[in-house]
Amino acid sequence: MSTVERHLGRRFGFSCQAWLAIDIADRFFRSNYRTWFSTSLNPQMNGSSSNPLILFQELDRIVQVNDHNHSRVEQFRIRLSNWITGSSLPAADVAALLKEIVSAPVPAFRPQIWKIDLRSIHISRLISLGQFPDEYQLADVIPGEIKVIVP
Amino acid sequence: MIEKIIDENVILLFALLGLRALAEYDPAEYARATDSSKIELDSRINSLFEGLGNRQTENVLLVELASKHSQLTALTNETRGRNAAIFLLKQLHVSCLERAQQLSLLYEPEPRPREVSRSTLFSERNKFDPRDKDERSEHEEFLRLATMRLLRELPRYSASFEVLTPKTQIDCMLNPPSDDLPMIVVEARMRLRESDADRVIKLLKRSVSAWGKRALGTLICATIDPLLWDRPIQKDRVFILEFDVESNAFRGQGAGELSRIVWNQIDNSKS
Repeated sequence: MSTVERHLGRRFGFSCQAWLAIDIADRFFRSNYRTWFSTSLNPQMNGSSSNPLILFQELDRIVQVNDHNHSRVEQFRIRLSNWITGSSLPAADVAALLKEIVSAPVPAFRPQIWKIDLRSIHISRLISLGQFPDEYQLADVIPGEIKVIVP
Repeated sequence: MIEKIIDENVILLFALLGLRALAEYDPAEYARATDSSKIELDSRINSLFEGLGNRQTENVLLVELASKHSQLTALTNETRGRNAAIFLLKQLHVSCLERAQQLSLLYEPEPRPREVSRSTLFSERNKFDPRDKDERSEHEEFLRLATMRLLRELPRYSASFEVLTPKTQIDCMLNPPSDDLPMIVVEARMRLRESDADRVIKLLKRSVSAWGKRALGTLICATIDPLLWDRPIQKDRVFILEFDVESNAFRGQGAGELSRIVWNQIDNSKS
């Protein structure tokens, strides 16, 4: 079977996710997560915005000090808004979710680190973003394919 | 009046125009957001514009929307000065998205119709999700949200949760601000099945009767079996209300009717 593990030669992927994104996926996308990942926790060749460990440290610090002016929080709001807009949700859901994302307090962006089991994911589901050497995306990860290693 | 014409399609259109600008200047970031192709996105934008029809010249907001659309078209077709076009597309992405976010703050969602009820979301959740909340905390969250919403219809009432009586535990008691007003016993159910309805209502009536003749009962449900939709929302002194968690609103007129009966009791006691 052609799995992501065989193609990338790595058994696990790592990703940093904000609670709000997970919660929205749970409520509106039946726990199908649109998630990017790298094949190591601290990929040296990726930029900071695509390094799960650096992102976790950064977001954790932002949440702890409630740094609502931090540009990373703004970036997350924009990314979440883009994701919702580009989904097939009805207009009423999009409007309500944009409102929720804009109004969300900083703790709603508390991070988790996920370990994704690449052995059980078919290669056809992999999207290569290509911006950095170790950055991939899966549009429909389900809870059984992930393990929350840092909640 | 901006508020009057804000509908969800206008908000979505602003957000989609922003996303379309993003697709043009940063394809990697666009791919992070969606699987839709630019063609699909264009077709979605066009069909939403067609839906607005002749209203486009009717007010400032729709004129602004049309202006953003023509800016986007001009910038995507720009072949000379590509760097400047990318800069302007970036600005357009941010300004359209911010406009959508700003309008979303003025947007008041309607409670959802029953056919596409969001209330089933609890049952749709993946039961094997280790992060999922247990059934008890979902019930508690639902109860508290619904009760707080109900209290907005019943000013100066106060809520006590999980009240123990000698025979049973009541989900919530709504205590009146004065003796002229009735106590209200609240029970919450995530789902009310037709086969269960009579038993649940009977139990609630029994709890209500323990608090005197004037007390009222309220059964708040997230999902009501379609077979029960035609039943009256009030039977004897028990109301059945359907609460939509996502829009934080009661469906139908149930809560308003309950409030009317409560405040009528003051008038009756005075007369």
